[in-house]
Amino acid sequence: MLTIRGGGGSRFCDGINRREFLKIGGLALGGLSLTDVLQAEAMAGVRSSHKAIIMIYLPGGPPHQDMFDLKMDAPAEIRGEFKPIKTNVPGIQITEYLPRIASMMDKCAIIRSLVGARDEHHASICQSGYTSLEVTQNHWPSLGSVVSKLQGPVDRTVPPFIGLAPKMGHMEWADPGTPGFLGLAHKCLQPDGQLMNDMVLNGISLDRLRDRRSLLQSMDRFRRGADALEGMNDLNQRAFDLLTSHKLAEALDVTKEDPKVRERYGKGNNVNVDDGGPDWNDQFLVARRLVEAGARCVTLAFGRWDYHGANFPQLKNHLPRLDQGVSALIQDIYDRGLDKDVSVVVWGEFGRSPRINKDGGRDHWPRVSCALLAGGGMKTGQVIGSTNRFGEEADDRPIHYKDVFATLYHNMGISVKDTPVFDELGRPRFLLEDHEPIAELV
Amino acid sequence: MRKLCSALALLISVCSVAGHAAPAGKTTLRLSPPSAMLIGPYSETHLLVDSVDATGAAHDATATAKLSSSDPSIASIDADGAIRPHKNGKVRITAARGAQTAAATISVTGIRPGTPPSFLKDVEPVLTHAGCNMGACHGAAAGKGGFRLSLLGYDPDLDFESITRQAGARRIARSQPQNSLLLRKPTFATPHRGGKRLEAGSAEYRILTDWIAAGCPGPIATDARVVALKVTPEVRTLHRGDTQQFTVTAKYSDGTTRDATGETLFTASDESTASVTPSGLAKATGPGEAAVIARYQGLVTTANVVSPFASPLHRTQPISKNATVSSTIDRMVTSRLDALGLPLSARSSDGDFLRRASLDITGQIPSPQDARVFLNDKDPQKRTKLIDSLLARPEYVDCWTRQWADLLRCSRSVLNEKGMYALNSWIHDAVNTNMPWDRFATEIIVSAGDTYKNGPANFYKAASSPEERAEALSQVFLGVRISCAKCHNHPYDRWTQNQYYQMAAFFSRVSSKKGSDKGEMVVFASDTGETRHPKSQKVMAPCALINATPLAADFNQDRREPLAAWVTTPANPFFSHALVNRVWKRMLGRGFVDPVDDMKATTPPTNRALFDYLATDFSSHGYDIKRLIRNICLTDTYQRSAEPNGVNAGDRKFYSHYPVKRLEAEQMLDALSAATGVYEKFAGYPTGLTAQALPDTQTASYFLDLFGRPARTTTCACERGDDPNLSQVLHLMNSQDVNTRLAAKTGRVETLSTSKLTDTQVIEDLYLASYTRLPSTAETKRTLAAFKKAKERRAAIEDLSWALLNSNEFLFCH
Repeated sequence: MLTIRGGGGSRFCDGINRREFLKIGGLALGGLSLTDVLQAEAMAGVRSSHKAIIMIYLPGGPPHQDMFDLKMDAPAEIRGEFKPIKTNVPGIQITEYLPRIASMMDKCAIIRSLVGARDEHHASICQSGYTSLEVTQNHWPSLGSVVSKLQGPVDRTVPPFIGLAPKMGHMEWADPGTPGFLGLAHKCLQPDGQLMNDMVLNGISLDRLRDRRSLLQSMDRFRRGADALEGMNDLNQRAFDLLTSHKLAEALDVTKEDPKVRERYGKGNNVNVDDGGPDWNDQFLVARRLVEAGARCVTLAFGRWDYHGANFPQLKNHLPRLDQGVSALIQDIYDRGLDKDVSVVVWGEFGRSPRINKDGGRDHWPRVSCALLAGGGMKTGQVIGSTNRFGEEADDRPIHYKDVFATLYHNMGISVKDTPVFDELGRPRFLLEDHEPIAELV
Repeated sequence: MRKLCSALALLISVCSVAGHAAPAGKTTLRLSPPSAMLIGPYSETHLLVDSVDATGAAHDATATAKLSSSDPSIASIDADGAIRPHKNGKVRITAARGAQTAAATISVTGIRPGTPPSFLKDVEPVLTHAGCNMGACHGAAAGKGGFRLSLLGYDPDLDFESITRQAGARRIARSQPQNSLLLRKPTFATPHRGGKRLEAGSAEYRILTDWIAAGCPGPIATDARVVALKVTPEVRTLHRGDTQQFTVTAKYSDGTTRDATGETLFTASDESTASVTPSGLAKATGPGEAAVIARYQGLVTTANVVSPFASPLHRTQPISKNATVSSTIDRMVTSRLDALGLPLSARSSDGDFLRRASLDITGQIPSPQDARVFLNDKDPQKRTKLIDSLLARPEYVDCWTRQWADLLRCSRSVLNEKGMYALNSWIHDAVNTNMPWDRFATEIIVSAGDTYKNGPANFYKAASSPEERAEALSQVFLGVRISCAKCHNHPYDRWTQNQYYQMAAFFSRVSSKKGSDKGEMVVFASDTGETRHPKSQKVMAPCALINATPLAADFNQDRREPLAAWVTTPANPFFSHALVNRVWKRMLGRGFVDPVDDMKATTPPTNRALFDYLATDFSSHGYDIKRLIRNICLTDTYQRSAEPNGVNAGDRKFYSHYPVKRLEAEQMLDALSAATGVYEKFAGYPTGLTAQALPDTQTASYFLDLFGRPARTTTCACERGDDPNLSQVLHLMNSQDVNTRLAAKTGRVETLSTSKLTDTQVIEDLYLASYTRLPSTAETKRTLAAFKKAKERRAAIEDLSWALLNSNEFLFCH
C-alpha cells in the first residue's frame, strides 16, 4: 500500500471559491439547482448570524482636538475655545459639545492616534482604508462591497450593502464606497440611485406585475439545461420577491418608526450643508432600520466639517446634532440587543491643524486624526493611543485606518489576512496588507 | 471554506454516487517503473502498481497492492509508501495483490557517510512542499511575521540569507538543530501563525535537521538544476469514483533524475471532473477532462484525467477526399465526443441559426422582415449564403471593431478624444478590409508617430512603460499573462522573471515626446535605453518568450522589428492559437483554453488536436479572420441546437451542443432597441447609432455599465463583466427605460396595437422580433387566451412584449 505523505497544504492558495463550489455542486451532484445548493449551505450553517456595520463619515475632516482629544495645556492659539467635560468613564474627557456621547462613553471607544490619511478631500479612506489613488490604481473594493461579496445578502429582498450619501457639491465626499475589482454586482444600493428606481414599482400595479410574471413563467423553452439559465431563474425569483416585498421600502421610511424614537434621534435637515452632506439625523435611524431589515453594511455622510474659517461657531452649531444622532443610535443598538453584532464608526478623512489660522479656522492635518467606535462586541469604555502636547503627531500606539478596517472585518467574522478576495484576473488579493485587528478592542 | 466543504459533504451524503464495477476478466499486475535508481541518502522513490485487464486498459492498484523489499537494510518501504535507501546495493521490490505479483529492481548508490543535504536539491523542496514559501505565508512580497522567503523558492540565495543570517541568525541553532526556530515553528513546538506544517521525525524533518547539523551548507551555483518534470501516468481514463496515484520524476541539468513525488505540489484544473490530494492521488469526481497539475521547484507539468460521460461511441467518420476545413473541424470534434461517450445534439432550427449567426457575426438580432425571408427560403444553401451576407454587412465591422477596441483600450479617458477616434477608425478600417491578423499586430508593434493621426501608435499611449507594453502585447496577441513574473517566477506557468524583463527590453527604446496638440504624443524608436533586472540590475538582452535567442548586444535598429517578426512567425505557436482561441470562444461560448488570454502550460485545451489544426490553418492561410469565422459557422458543430440530447447536457466544453450565451451589454441594448422598435439616443451621437458602434465606452449609459461594459482600462477580456446580477434583472423587469419603450408612441407595441393585424399576427410579429421564430401552436393558443382575458388590447401587447424581453430565450444567444 502506498500513501505518499501529504499535508503540504498547497491548497491554501488555490482553495476553491464559492462560484466554483456552486459549479461543482451543480455538476457533480446530479444537477442540483442553485437553490438546492443554497439550501444545503444554509443547513450546513454557512449563513452566519447577522453582523453589520454602520459607517458614519464626516466629510471634510473633523477637528480631532476640538472633539475627542482636547489639548488644555497648549497655548490659546492651539487650544481653542472648547472645554473638556468628564465622561461616564473615569479619566476620559471629551468636548463639552458632545455631552450625550460623554454620558455613554462606557459604550464607546476613542482612537486618538489615527494615522495613514492623505491630504485629500475624499471619502475613500473611510470607506475602504485606501486612499483614492490606491483605489484608482489597484481597484481596491470598499468594505461594504467586500462584505457583499464574501457574505452575500441576509434577506433576499434587502441588498447587503447600502450607501445613503446623497449627491454633493464636492462629489468625492459623496462616495458611498466603490466595488472596485469586485464589479457592479457588489456596488451599494443608493436610495437616490437608478437601482432604487428600478426597485419601486413604476407605472404598473402589483397585479399587473403578477400577470406579467405568470406569462413569463409560461415561456419555458430555455429555463433549464445550463448553469447560466438556472442562475437567471433564481435571479428572476429574487427580483420578483424584491418588487413585491415592502421590506426595503419600509426600512427606508422613518415615518414608520415610533415618533418618539425619531425625536430622540433628532430629525435633522435633509438639505446639504454647502458642498458637503446634510445634517440629517434621520439617516442614523434609517441605518439602524436597514441593518435590522438585513443590510450588512450601511454607509452615510453627515454634515460638512472642512472648517478653514470660523471653526468654533460652526462646531457649536453642528456638534450637538451629531451628538444627538450618534448617541441615540448607540443607545438604540444597546437597547435592541444589537451591541454584539452591529459596529458603529464615526470619523473623517483627516484631522485638522493644531494652530488656529487667521480666520479662526483649522486647516487640513493628515498626520493624525481620531475615530469613535461602538458596538460590534468590541471592548469599549477606553481610549486608544494619544497625540503629543499640541495634538500634532501620534505619540504612542499609532493606529492606521487599515487597522480599524481589519477590526471591522474581524467584527464581521472575516479574517482579512486569511481571506483572499479574487480580482478581475482571478488573482488572490489580500486586503489591508497584513494590518491586524486592534488588539485593545477585540 | 470549511463550512462550504461541510455543505458539500452534506450534499454528497444525500446523493448516492454511482459506484463503478471493477473490471471483469483476466488481469495482470504491473509495477512501474520496472527499475529505478536511488542516489544519495535523501532520495526516495514511489512505484505505481497497475492492474491491467484483458483489453490492455490499466487500473490503479497502488493502494491495494502490498510492497515488500528483498533487503530492507539496502532499501525499505516506509509507512508512507515511499522507498528510501540505507546503503549502496540492489534490491528487488515485489508487489502482491491476491495471488498476483509483479517485481521491480531498485539500485542504491551514492550513500556516503557525512554527505549533507543539498540546499537546492533537498532543503528548498521541503520548504515549498510544507507551504512555508507560498504566497499567503512567508512567500508574500513582504514575508510574514518578519520572515521572508522567495515565492515557491525561486530565489535560493534570498532564502538562504533569510534562514541563516537574518533576525540575528536566531532561526538556526547549529549545536542543537532540533531547537532551531526553523524546526520548532513548523512542528508547532513554538506557537506558529501558520499552524503545524511539518511532522517531527518525518523524512522532511530529517532533511532539515541534518542540513543544520552539517552547518547549513548554502546553495552551490554549479549544482544541477531541475530542467524537466514528468508525471506518470500521462493520461488515465477514470470513471467517477475511481482513483489514480500519480508520481513525478524530475530531470536535472546533469542528466540525473529523481523521484519528486513526495515534494511536488499537486492541484487539479477542474474540480468538477477530478480532485487530487496533496500527495498526488487523483479521484474522478464527474465526467469530462481535467489536468492534474504538478509543480516542483519552479517547473510545472500536467497529466490528464479523462472521465467519459458514457461508454465511448464508435461513430463512423469516413475521411472524405473532399474534406473541407469545416468538415475536418466536425470530424475532430466528433472524435473527441466519441471518446467521452457524448451524443450530438440535433441540427438547430433555421430561426435559431439565423438569430445566433446574426448575433455572433454582426452583434445584432435580425428584423422580423429578414427573419420571414430566411424562414421561407427553400434554398438548401441558404445558411451558407446567410453567413456570407452577414460577413459582408457593416454591422460585422462595428461588432468586431468593438472587440478589438476593448482589448486595445480604445478610450478617450487615456488617449484623449482625438487619439481614441484615430485608434478606433484605424481598427474599423482594418476590420473593414479584413486586414490579415499578422499585419494588424505588426502595425501596432512597430507603430510610430502622432497618436492623434496614427491610430496604432496609441498602443504606446495606453501602455506607458516597457513592462506594461510587454504585458499588453503578451496578453492581447499571445494570449499569455506574464504579469505574475514581474516580481517572481510565475507560480502557475513556465515564465521566469528573467523572461519578463527580456520581453520588456524590446520596448526599452520606445520613446515619446509631446505632440503639437494638447495631449498628443509622438512615438518614436530611439537608440538608447535598457531594461534592467530589478534585483541583479543586469541589463537584459531582449529575447522573445520561446523558440528565440536574445538580440545581439550590437543590434542597433528598432528592437520592435525583430519582435514583430517573432510574434507573427508561424513558428510562434502562441500568436495564431491566441486569435483562434478568441474567435472560437466568441462563436462557441468557450475557448479551447479558458480564460482566452491565459493560455498556461498547465491548462489543457478542450480539444488539442483541433486547436492546433485551426491555428495552423489560420497561419497558413494568410491570417484571414473572415475565413476563420466563415469556416467555423459552416460546421455542423456550430449549427447544432442549443438543446441538449441526453447526457450531453452535462457537457460544458466539448461542443456537443451549441452553448447558451448571455448577450453582451451592447448586444442586449441593441436587441432591446430592435425588438421594441424604440432606439437609444447616446449623447453626442445620432439616434439609431447602435451601442456596439460607439467608438469607446465613455459615453454615459446606465444600461451598458450595468450589463458589464468594460471601462477599457485593462487588456484583459475578463474586464467585460459577464456575471448576471440582480440589478440587471430588476432593470429589465421594472425600469423606466424598459417601460418607456413599451409605452412609447413610436415603438413596435404602438404600431401593432393600432394596426389592423389580427391577434395571431401581432403575436407572430412579436415572437419574430424578439426570438427570430414563430410561436408554436401551443404558444399562440396560450397567448391568445391571455389576450382575451385582458381588459385592453394595448396592455396585453405590452405585457406579451415585456414577458418576451424578460425571458431567457431573449436574453441568451442560443
